[in-house]
Amino acid sequence: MSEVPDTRRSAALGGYCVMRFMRRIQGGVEDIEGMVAQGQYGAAASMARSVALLCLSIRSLAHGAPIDLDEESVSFDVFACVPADESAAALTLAREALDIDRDSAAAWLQRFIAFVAETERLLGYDGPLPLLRSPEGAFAMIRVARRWSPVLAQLGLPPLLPERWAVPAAADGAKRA
Amino acid sequence: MRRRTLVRDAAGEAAVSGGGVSGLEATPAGRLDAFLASRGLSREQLMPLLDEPFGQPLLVAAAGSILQGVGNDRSDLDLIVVVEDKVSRMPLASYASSVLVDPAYFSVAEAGQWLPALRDAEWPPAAPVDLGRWGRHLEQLIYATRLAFGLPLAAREGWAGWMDSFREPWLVQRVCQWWRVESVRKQLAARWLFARRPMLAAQRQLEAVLAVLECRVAARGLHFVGPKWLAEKLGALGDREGLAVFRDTMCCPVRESEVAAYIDRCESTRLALGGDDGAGWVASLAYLPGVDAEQRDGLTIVRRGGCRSVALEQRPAALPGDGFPIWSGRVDERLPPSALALLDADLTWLSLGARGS
Repeated sequence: MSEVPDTRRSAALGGYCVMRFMRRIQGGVEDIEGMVAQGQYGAAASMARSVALLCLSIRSLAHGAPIDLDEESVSFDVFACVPADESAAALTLAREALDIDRDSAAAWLQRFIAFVAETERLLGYDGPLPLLRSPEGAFAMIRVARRWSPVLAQLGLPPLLPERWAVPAAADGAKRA
Repeated sequence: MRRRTLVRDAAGEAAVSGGGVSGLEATPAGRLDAFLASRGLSREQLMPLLDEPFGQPLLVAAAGSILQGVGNDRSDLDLIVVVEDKVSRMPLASYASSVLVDPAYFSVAEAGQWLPALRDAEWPPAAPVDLGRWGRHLEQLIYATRLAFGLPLAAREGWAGWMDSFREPWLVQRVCQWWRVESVRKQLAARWLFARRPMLAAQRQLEAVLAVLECRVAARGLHFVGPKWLAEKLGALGDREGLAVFRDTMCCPVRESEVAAYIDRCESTRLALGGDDGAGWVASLAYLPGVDAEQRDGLTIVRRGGCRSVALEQRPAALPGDGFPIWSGRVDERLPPSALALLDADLTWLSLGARGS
């Protein structure tokens, strides 16, 4: 398997992984908070598994795994290069959601959010990223795209934003801001 | 916790009640109204607050977890908006007053493909399915089932009727078929990945079992596609056996030494629940998009952009662009070493087709 030079790894963490974090992990944590508050513990366990695996995918790249953007592939390996104890801790934390109740939910949630925040620090930004679904979030995403898209292109890496995000030209009758 | 009950709404669809803020109301309309009222809004007040970035809508439908009866106080309100022209799929969630609205925009051309693709065509098709087609089919199923449990807020002539098409029984069958195939696909991946990536194999086996449970709840009327809600759906159906399987399956291995026993146990469970044994399918491995190859020093170097690559001493049966799969065969066949190496390097897409098709 090919080695990933540090420049590419940094660009992948700052670009692709930030997008993964903002698009999928942040929303997942918001979902878990809502599910826990509502007593939907089974749903919280499902979402915790998804978020934990996505966090491991970021840790995997930080630990030296090849860049992998194909999240839907059956071979997308979030465990690649992650130390066994680190993977075990993440999976155990997610599994614990199956056993939470009204008394223990808040403490579990706090530990889970700490795990996610620890993952976020690997992305190389000074502080927490704005929530995508907040007024600042969309601008933050645009800043990330403007900063990293040219770098990724220079390195011969795939585009940061999906093609389907392209905004078409206004058609007649469209309301204009 | 609130008691959960299975009810039938006005459209005859089974739905969950008692789960979320709007679950006290038995119908999608009731749930939506309760959700909006808890934020000091009505449907009439909501509509003028919605932006129209891609032109005047032909259809605006409220959809998602609130209307499906599994939402909670933190849920957003999903909208499906059909417009005449091309749209962007960029996430555009924003607040309309106190309600977080998450709209998904579709052009008439896109929406027009849903019924032919889902109702009028078999899944999977005869030819191997690539990642793009698999993703499109999943997206179409997600939004079709959202429409099935959704509510039109504004509809030009014919569009409310179009939406009603997704409340017909065929959609349940299509969702069940999707999960049936996914269960086999994930189990096959677990088997192939086990030797070299056991932790990953365990996750694929987990997904194979959950897919059978998804099929089970779909067949009983809770067919909206949203894997995070599986436990809520099982609970709403009073499916104690399903909940026990869910819990047992979710207790996945955290160490490689636990994987073999877990996969054996889960596979027995999957088959006992009626999961497909794969005998009726042909599996195919094709290249992922963006993969290319070159010959160098007697080796075949296969790579995905600047991301990852693998060097093969034996040339695979197909190279990117050849237009046919790297490998096709019965699910109980062994993969050739080169195909296994490409799968291991995550350069392939696995699909299933019906045998004899």
